[in-house]
Amino acid sequence: MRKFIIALCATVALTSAARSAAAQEYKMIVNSGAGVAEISVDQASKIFLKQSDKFANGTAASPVYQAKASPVRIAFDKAVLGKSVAAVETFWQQQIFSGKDVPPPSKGSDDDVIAYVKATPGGIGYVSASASVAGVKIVAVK
Amino acid sequence: MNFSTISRTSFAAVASAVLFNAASVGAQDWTDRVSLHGSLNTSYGKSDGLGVFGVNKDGTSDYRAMTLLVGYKLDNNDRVVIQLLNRGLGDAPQKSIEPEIQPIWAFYEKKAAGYTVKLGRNPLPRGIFNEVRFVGTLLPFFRESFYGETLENIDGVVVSRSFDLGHDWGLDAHVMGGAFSVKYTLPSPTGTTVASLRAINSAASQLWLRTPIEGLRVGTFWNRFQMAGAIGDTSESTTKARMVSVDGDFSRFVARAEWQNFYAGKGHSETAFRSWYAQGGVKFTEKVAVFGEYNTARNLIHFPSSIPDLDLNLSNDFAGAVNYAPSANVKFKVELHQADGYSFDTSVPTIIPPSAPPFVMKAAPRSKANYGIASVAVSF
Repeated sequence: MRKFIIALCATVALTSAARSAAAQEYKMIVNSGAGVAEISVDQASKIFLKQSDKFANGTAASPVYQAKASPVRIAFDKAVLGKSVAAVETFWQQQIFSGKDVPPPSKGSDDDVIAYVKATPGGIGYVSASASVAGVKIVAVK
Repeated sequence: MNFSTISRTSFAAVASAVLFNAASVGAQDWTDRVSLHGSLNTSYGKSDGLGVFGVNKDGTSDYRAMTLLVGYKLDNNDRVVIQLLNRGLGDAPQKSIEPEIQPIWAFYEKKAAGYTVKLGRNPLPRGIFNEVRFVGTLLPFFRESFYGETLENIDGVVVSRSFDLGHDWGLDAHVMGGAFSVKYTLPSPTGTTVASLRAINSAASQLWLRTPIEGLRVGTFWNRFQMAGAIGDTSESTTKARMVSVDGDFSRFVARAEWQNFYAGKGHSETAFRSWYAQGGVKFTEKVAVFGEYNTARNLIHFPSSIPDLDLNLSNDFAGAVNYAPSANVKFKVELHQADGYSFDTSVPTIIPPSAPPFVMKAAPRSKANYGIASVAVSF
């Protein structure tokens, strides 16, 4: 029983550490004109799943994804959307093939995401923690 | 291709909207505006005896559904969408009326003030799988026969809105009006009759109540329509359809059930069809899952004069399937079915007419067939 409790505690600790690491593997950026300084995980999730099309201040949001295989996409989907990349893809298939919506555009690199967010009013995306993000604003994820 | 007038009108409207907008669009914009998606759900099926919706004793690989979906975003609130379908139906009698390529969607969509309005040939929100019935990567079995060959899309208008009810409850509401096609199959001792009929003056609604339990929702569908020129009856009669759905799709398991009822006619010419299914599944990993399903249908048959009605258990189908999905865009399935009843591709004895008083119709012994389907589905 004692061994089981120790194993359980170790699993919980490792899972928490992994989530924390995942959360630090990306930073969220918005268009400088969006007037957004921070965003909740719940609100970000709704925007990236197109369940909400506005920021809390009423500005229209235009999300952009990273490519499916990118490490930052894997970390973001798990930390913010609470799903694996495959589960998010299945969600979008359901939306596409039921005629409801199509996913946000997807870009192949941090630079492409930054360029999109910079050029798009209300643009919001995520890039690697190490990316240089001149011209866009970093938002705190609560 | 056999385009109906409404279908041609839908396509003309969609094409006009795209062309009108195209002149002002730069090359870079096109990549963000145009969306191209598709799916292929192809299989090999074999039965040990009677044919079941195209799966025959000799085995068939002409059993598939292939879709191509093109969308064009006019702006953030307006878009047009077309979806084309090609099907292989094996030996199914419906094959004779199935066009090689058919436009199953062609609609213009406008989003405003929280509402979404679709005009043209629209996907029809109806139960869990109706809109995605051809997309194998989203289905646990090759085909969900519960939905039949009807009420697949609607030529007219669909208005949708989602409501946040608070405390993690939500409501997705759809109201619809227009017309749709019904593919009709009528086995008889002299052969199977198939026809595509038109249902008109349709009004419908689909409500989904989202619950605080993630993955659990409850839905209800209601519809009334008139059949124009039903087989053996050139008059128009009102049909009412109802459906209740419980959809539980959780991280490790799936539990679903749907019930539906069609009721038509008045007085002694009324007919009633009821069916339901229950489906359960276990997701061992994100890639591997097993599913089981029981699907049953009953038809209330009326006879002239004083002969009592016969409530016929039209079909039962027990099925099991193994799914392997190496990615969200690819899924392999192997499924086995055990079917019995009176609904097969060839005519089977259905009723034993009375030869002496009290003249009560009896159901003939049930026919049976076992069949299997191995399929692969891809989508992009």
